[in-house]
Amino acid sequence: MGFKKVDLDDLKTRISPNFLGIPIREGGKLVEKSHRERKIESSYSGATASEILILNEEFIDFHYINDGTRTSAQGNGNISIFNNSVKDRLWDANLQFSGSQFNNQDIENNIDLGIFEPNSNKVLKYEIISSEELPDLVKIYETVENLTEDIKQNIVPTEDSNLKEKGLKNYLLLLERENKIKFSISIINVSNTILEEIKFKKYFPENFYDTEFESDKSKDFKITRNSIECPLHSLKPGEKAEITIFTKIFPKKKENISTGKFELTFNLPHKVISGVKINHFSAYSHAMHAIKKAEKNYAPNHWQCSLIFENHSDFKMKLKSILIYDKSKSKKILDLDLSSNGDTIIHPRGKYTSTYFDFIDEKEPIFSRKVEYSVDYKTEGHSMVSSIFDENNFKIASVHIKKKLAEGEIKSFEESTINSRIILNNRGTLPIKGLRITERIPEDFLPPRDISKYELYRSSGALDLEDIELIMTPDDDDPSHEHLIELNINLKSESIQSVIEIEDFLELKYPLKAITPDYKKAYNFPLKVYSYYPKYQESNQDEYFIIMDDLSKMDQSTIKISHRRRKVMIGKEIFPGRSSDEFAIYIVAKNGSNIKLNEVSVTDTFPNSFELISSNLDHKLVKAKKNGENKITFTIDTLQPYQEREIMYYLKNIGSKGAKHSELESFFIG
Amino acid sequence: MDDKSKEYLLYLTDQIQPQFTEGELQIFLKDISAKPLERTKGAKSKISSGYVKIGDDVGKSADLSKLNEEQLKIVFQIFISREKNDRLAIKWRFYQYLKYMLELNTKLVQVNRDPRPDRFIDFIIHTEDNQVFLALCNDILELNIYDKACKEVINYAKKENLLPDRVMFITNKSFRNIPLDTPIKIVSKEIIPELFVEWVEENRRFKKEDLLLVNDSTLKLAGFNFNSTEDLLNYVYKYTAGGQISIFRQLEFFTEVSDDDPEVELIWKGIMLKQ
Repeated sequence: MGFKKVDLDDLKTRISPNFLGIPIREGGKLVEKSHRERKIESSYSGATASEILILNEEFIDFHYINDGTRTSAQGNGNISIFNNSVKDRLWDANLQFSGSQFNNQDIENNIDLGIFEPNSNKVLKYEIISSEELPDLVKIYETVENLTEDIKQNIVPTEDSNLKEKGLKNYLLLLERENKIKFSISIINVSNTILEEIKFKKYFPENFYDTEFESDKSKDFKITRNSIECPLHSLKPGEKAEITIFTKIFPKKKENISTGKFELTFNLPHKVISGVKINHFSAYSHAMHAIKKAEKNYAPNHWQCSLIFENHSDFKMKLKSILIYDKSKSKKILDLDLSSNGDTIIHPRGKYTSTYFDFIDEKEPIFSRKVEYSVDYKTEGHSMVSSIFDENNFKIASVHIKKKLAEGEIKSFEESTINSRIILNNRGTLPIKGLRITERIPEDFLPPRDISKYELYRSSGALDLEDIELIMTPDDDDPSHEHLIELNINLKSESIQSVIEIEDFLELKYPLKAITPDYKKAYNFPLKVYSYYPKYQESNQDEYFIIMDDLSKMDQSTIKISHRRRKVMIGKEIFPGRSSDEFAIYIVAKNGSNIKLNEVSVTDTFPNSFELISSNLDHKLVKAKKNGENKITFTIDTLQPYQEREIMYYLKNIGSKGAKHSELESFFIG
Repeated sequence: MDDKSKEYLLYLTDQIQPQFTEGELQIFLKDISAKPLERTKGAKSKISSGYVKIGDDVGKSADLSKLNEEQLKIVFQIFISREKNDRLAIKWRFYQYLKYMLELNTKLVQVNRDPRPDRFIDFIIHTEDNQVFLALCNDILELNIYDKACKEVINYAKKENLLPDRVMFITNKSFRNIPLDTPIKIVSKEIIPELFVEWVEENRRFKKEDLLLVNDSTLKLAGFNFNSTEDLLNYVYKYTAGGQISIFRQLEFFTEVSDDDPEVELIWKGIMLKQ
């Protein structure tokens, strides 16, 4: 009428309804219908044997960062001992295994497992300590390439192409452009055993589209919204599997986009990676041994004896040794080491009979015997390995170019100097290591040939000219043909960490001479900027991704050549005053052109016999020491196109003689 | 077991183990028919009020043939089909279990005969080593019933001046919020409550209809007497001399029609050591 004493843990285990007790199907029935089951491998038939299986399974998790460096390894194992017999128990089971700690495999664990009921199992769990010493079983390399045509690379031949020594690679994406990305993944079995049931899974951020896959080992890709899975079946030692993924992405804004992590799981059949060994297992089951003694018919008191061993269990039994002494244990009669020439296996219901030995005794002889035996067993082992590889992040590359000319319009056929100003903004997430700026200067213009005329500023101050190289082609001052100027910044000396930091700018200013420009020509100044981004993170390697940006795609600056001429007239008229010694001088300045005139200066002179009474405009009066003449100067700030300005001033004769008009018709400068 | 004739019910109920004694059967029959306890004079001594001694007439096996068909049916429903799972059924199934519960060495068992539902203490068990256990039976143990039962244990102990050594809650089903880790404080003594749930081993290696044979038929037992192999082994340990034990099952012995050539299987083999 069985009851079970339950404890708090039993109550808390919520695997069934919120109460525990007799299963519903056991109650509420008057009759329990019985079905006769087919008898499983009746041990009485002797046809088949039951089995003891010792299964060692190990589970190891490796964690790698994206360059293939392993950061952690954790593992544990289960040793499961199965008694598969439907009726026979085992007892005095003992297991010896070594190597629960990977770095100390000599330590033997001797564990008493007690009794096994039929159809039961026991599980021993162990942790793999010093798991960091476990060898890598696979090597995985992932290369990420941006196939977009706007990205070029400078190829630097080097003897050592080891990725790890160069550092982590920068993965570039171009902002506001479609980027074609190729992921190439190589999986190499570097172990000395076959890897089975390999499953590869790569995760993708949601931004990717038009994704295609190729593999030399599998066509069976399973695609979900943000991952792909690919079973690879098996890899022999040294064998390599390649998976190629083509995809596209269009970064609309500056954001973190990852390359996506990936996982690899596989099974190592018949091998435990930690090296744990099942050294010995022994257990007893039903068996009988006896010594048969028969007195010889022809010889009284002469006994023919033999030891018999009967296996009464369903298991195979291994008979190890038989040792028989006489009753007093003083004389060894039989000493058989049955495991010296291979195992002596007694099958279920089988019997072993030793060789006969004779013994002389008046009474029925008595012996002292020791028989060593154990059930036979088989061992199996395998390892399940799971490797996780971290994702990397793409860097965004983006440069914005602006060009400004101080004078948007210059006059034709006149020499003038204009200031050219170029501003580059780094809008990406990676500093720009170096720059090459090329500008085509058309004929009739001349850029400076002297590097000191070029000024480069960043937010942190001016750039040192030593970091800049100027190449002008052809290097002359002939304005009859075009010139190409090329400014290489931080490409040779590399004395500065980066030319433009993230969110920073570089401003380039230089004077550009216009030599008799022709208003009938259209002048263009094509500007190209080549940004050099380092291929590897925190590396001094001079390998770069080079991205060219063209001004024409951005803020195109133009210069207008106008064919305009000044046309000015300064007139002077003298009027007599109310009295004969007074005069009014009227000066008119007329701008007859369509351009604005600035700082128009008009100077008049009058003899020292006159004095200035007043004027309608500010003036400057200077008396000459030589002849005592007065020089009066007026300055008109601006004369707008076709504007006319009048200047009037009044003089009075202060001499004794009468004033003459002719004296006032003096030298007029204007 | 579809046949419910009186003869067949009697045939099956005769197989109930451990067998009832005459005294046990009488108390059981009165209990299930809810007959109140007859007051007996001068029965004070160790017997608590509302309780009667039970199981002290060892050897006098009950004669079930005197039971009427209705009574036999109730016996069948409690002990064989176990379709009755009310408090009384649990109480009497636990009493049967008590007889071969391994760690108990009983000297005196008193059973509650008060039919009031708020009398929770069903058995007062005195052991050979002078310990006293209280057993409280329920069909479904809920928290509020548990709390009430604990109060009754405390009150009873104070009233009878009896400090129990163990308090056992017996149930067919239990809710999971019973505070087994909270001791019951009786006067100055704290007792950790114990919970026994009626348990059926799934996939046990014999069926209700099987006849279980111990060694060379030293014992013949009906499968329906035992819920689990452990249960069976406890019984065999108690009612055999121990030593090398083999237990066989004769398949479907208690079905209406059985094979002429019955199948017998070994289901357990081992040694039982008795001191």
